Order: sequence, then C-alpha cells, then structure tokens
Amino acid sequence: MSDDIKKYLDGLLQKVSGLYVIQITDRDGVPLLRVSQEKNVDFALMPSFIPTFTTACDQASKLGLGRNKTIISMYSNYQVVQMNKLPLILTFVGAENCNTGHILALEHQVDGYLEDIKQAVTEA
Amino acid sequence: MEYVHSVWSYLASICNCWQCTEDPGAQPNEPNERTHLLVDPVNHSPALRRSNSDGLSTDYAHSLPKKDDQNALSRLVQNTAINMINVGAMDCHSLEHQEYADRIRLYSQRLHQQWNNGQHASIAPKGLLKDVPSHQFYLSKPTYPDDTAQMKLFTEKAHISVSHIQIDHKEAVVVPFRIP
Repeated sequence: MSDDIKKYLDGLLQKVSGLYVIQITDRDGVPLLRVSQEKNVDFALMPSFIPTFTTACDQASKLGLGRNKTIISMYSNYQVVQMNKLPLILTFVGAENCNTGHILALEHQVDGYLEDIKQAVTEA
Repeated sequence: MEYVHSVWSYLASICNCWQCTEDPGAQPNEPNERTHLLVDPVNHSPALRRSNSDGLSTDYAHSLPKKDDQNALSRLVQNTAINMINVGAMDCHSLEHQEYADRIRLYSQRLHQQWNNGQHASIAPKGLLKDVPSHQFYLSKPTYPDDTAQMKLFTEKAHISVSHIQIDHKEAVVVPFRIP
C-alpha cells in the first residue's frame, strides 16, 4: 500500500508541470509521506515550516468566513500550497509559474488516500 | 427728565424686592435658596451607615457580583480570548529533535502495520475527468513515420467524406408569421 501511494503521488508530480514536492505531515511537521523531484526545496519542508501554517490556519479561521481550508503562498521563486486535512497537513511545493489551479484540483483525488494515513496519526 | 427717570427706576426696583419677600403664592415646601441639597449629610454618611452590623451584611451582599454574573463574565472573557486574532501566537514552536525522531518512527510503524493487514481495497481515482499530462511528456516522445502516415491517411479520408456531404433544402427555414 505504501508503494502504491508513493507511486500514485509520483505520478501526480509528473502530471503537473512545475510541481516539485508533495508531502504529508502531521500538524507539527512530522512527515509521514513525501515524494519529490530533484529540485532542492528542503527549506519549505523544515519542521518549523508546517506548524507556522497550522497556527496561521487557526488564526485565519477567526475571520468569520468559516474554517480555513487552504493557504497559497506565492514567492519569487516558488509557490507553496498547504491544505488543512487535520490531523494531516498536505503540502505542495512548485515553481513560481506552476498551475495553481491544477494543484488545487488534486485535493479530491488525494483525499481517498489520506483517510488511511489519518488513522496512523489519530492513534498516536 | 433724566433725574425723574432714574428716580422712577429706583422706586420700581424697591417695589420688586418688596413683592418678592411678601409673595403669598409661594408654597411652604417648595425648595428655595435656603433649602439644603443634601438631607442630613452627617447622619446618612456611608461610614456611619456601615457601622451597623445588619446594614453591613446587606451592603456586602449587594456589593459583590453574583455567581451567575461572574460565570457570565468568565465566559465572555474566554470567548473574547478565543475569537481574538492573535498574531503573536504565530511564533514557531518546533519539536525537540528526539521527539521528532520518535514520532517519525512511530508513524512508520503504524503505517506498516496498517497496510500489512491487507484489508485495504485499491483506491482508484473517481470522476470522469482525469489529469491531463504535461505537454512536455508528449513532446519528449519520438514520432514514428508509420504513425504520421496513418494520421495523414485518416485526415485525407475525413476530408473526402466531408466534401461529399450534400444538403437538400426542402422547405424554408424562416417562415413568415401569419397575421390574420
């Protein structure tokens, strides 16, 4: 099953042009699964990077617009899309000109795989 | 004439004062300039009143907020703290290295146990639409002469078929509206 998920996520990396990393972590940044290309984007996957998103997500949910689901950060060289799938955090890192809509469309496809992975974190 | 006018004004002012002092229409209880604003301030002072034991207990009971009010106040403060957007709380709090490693190991073990049970059905992507591969994926593939020839043949046949389509008009498309 692990190989199947990794193979599937690798396939997503190949399908989306400019997508470098797909990582699944808990809310504290501890990685459960990660697939990446050769591009060096370790800075976006440091343990301190994910908890910042979690806190920002909590604070953003207080704006009166409902629960925050996704945060898209556009930088000069990269873009980071983080999805709230508590207790999991789904993180995509891509190039600046990567198709953001295409990344967002992957959410529903990955949901089926996340349900199994959530159990490992819930039991912790 | 000025002297007479001044004398007349003086006499008028004297008459007004006399009328004011001898006004019979004034009510006996109506407040006037002599009335005290504070009624017996010495006897009604809080210090003297609180010396009474009964009064002290009564005032003490009324002065403290009720438990319900305190609970409501606590809830209000708590809700305010929860709903307030606290940017300062966004400071990074990283895990200890040992805890980080332990959790990675724990997650790996649980995932392996979970997936080794063999109770998971294969998950296939749902929906009619599927991802469109990157254009670079096809551009990097070699083009074979047989495939090119086949595409040209199909194109020629389609062109011939389209050119042989004939339309026979049997009636007018636009019919004039019949007005009686």
